[in-house]
Amino acid sequence: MSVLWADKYRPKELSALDYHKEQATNLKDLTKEGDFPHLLVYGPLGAGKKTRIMCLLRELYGPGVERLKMETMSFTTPSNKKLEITTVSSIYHIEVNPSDVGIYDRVVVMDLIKHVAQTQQLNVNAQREFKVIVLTDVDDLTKEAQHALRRTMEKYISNCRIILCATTISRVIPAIRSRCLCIRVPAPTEDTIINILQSVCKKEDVNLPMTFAKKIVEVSDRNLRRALLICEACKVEKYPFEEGQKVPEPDWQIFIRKTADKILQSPSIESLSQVRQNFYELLINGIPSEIIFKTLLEGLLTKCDTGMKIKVVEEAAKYEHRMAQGNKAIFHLEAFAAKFMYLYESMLLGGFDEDM
Amino acid sequence: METNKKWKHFDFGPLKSNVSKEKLSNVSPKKNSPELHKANTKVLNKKSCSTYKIPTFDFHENLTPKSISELAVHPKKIQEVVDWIEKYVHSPEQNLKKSPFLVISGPTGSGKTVTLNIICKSMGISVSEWVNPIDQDYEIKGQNQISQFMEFLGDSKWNSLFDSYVKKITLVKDFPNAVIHRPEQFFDVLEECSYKTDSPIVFICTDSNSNSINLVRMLFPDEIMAKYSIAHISFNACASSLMKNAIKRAMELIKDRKDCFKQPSASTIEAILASSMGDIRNTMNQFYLASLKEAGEIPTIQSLKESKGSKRKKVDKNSKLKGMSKDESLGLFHGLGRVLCPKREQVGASWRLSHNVGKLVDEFAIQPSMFVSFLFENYLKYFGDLKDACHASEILSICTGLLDRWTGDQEALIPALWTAVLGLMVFNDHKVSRWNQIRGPVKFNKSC
Repeated sequence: MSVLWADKYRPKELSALDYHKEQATNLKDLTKEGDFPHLLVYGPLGAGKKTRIMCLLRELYGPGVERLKMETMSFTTPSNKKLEITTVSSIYHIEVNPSDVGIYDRVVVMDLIKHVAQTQQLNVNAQREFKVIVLTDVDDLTKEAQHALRRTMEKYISNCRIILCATTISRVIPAIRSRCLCIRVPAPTEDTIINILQSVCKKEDVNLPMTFAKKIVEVSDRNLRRALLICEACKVEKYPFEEGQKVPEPDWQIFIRKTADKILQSPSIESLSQVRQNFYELLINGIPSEIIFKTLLEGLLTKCDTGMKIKVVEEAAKYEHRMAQGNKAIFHLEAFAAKFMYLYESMLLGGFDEDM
Repeated sequence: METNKKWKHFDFGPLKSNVSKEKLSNVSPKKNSPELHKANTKVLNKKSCSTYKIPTFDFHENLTPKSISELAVHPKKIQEVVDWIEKYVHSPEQNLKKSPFLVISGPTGSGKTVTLNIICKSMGISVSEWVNPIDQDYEIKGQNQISQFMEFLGDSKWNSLFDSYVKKITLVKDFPNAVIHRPEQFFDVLEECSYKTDSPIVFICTDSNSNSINLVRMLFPDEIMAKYSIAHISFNACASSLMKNAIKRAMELIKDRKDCFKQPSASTIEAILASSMGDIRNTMNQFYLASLKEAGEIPTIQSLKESKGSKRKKVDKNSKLKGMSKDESLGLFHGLGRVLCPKREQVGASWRLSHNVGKLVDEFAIQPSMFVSFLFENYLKYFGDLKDACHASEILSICTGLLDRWTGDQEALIPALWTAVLGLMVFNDHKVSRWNQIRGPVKFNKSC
């Protein structure tokens, strides 16, 4: 059986967590009473949010939560459109990503919670009197869905608890934030990642040199999941590890760099429309827009002088903020690309227009 | 004495044909009305002399479709309505929880009411329609319009004693005036209806270009639709092929009545079709006007000539016919063209946009985000300068920011649309005008 290392060595209990141990004990104390408020778990990618949620549920319900099944639920919108969404559930909890259905997420949020909340537990003594709903990518929910969530959350608190999972809370409406206990899971430090890599490799009976581990961590951007995946990929590619072995880069990173090169090479309207196609390509393949933005900016800044850099970063901050506020990333990505092209062109010709 | 008697008894002729004439003069354009009046009076004079054989053929009543197959509506839409009625009227047991509301919307003359009436008739369901009481009524009774409306809807669960049908549908087409100013009252009514009655209620709303009287949007916003799970069927303007069939049917109808009708020429029919703009009621009225025998001599000659003239000029749009039909509404592509390729007029040292931006924005105010997506997808090809494009993309970025933030409030979306439209039109200094294919906005689902 081949299971990815990242899944195979995922800690299953709060006490088995490798880092943020203090937080783990806090979570344990939280569940001692057998009850807890709605939770909002947030933090960067690959920091272990989901792992902590699962550990918490196990703490609460015992090993039964690990018996998962995939299920497709269907909903009908008011306009009679049929929606289907995959859910992962055990008898105690259900996990769903409502933003999978795009703008119809409101229907999913409302119907799902109602559906779960209206089924009463038969044997209250054997189980908890509430079920848990885990919603992922809450920051991608539309405003309507978030408002719907806020109402339903209050209504059904007696027999269901909601755990929300998000990368950032800046797009979660304050009303939801205030109804939840917010728990931030910071990304693990580089040393922690190295330790985890070492211990995983030991269990897999793989020899991981320190220098190579460091290299992997550098590339992984403090994303533990990515670090483990890269490590496993390297092992498949070439083992035993060599000193100068290259750490493979993900395709999308190369693709974004190419896009940045295109912007730098020929600032014109034609290349702008090609750049747009590239952005679409990336978005369709599920690369988060903030990662596209960040990588693109890094690629672009390499060719700028100091004065230009200040201007570009300023513009980038502006558009990135707008992007985080809205849900149509392509508009802002393109606006940034256009602005950069213009600035770059005028830099090459010498001097800026002050009105820009 | 004889003469006196004649003065007192003024013969207005048979009531029915008179009414239809009046209807006609209402819908016919102002240009024709003097002639038509002349014709009317002429006919009346003849009738009063009672030497002329009075045509008693009611064209409109005969023309009204009698069966589903005769409707000039797309079969799929008919099926949708039938499905809904079957679901809620014939087997209401399964849907007890949901109060069965249906909203039918569509442009004028797309056959909304007729479709409902005929389907109900064919399925053996009686339709009771709400009609606004006249002002005097409620001033005397002291009961306000809304409560009467409520009462009417509340009573709708009882069947009429005189009706042979068992099932019943309540139809509201004539919304009480009060709710147009204060939609909240309407929501209250809905709320009450949703638990008081379980007989189905159908609302018919006519689409409108202007924002302030768009009933669908005002009275049935998304949250209301969701709350009461109101079904919505939206009719499209009558397609030209269906229109042609309808005219064919009308021709068949008047064939046997040589005494009062003549067959209009093919060119006339073509002109009528060209100016119909998907409004079947208007088209039928035009047709009736053109085929009237006695009107054919004086008043319709004018209009015939007009339509002939316009037909010849049809190459450069049949704008001549505009007088005969309703206001033009801009299609999506037309609107996009106006925004992306703005025409300018030189005024002194400065310039002005030659089209009315306000009207343009108003056209697309119903779906601002859709229109903005279209603009975004296509604007680059029309820009000739990087600086302009940079400004434009900045504008679009601001605009979607606004659109995303206020998705719930339609009124707040209008300024966003203004920003986008005006920004794109103003900043396009180095316009590239060549043939470009308009592309639809890219839709993507996240695959993971």
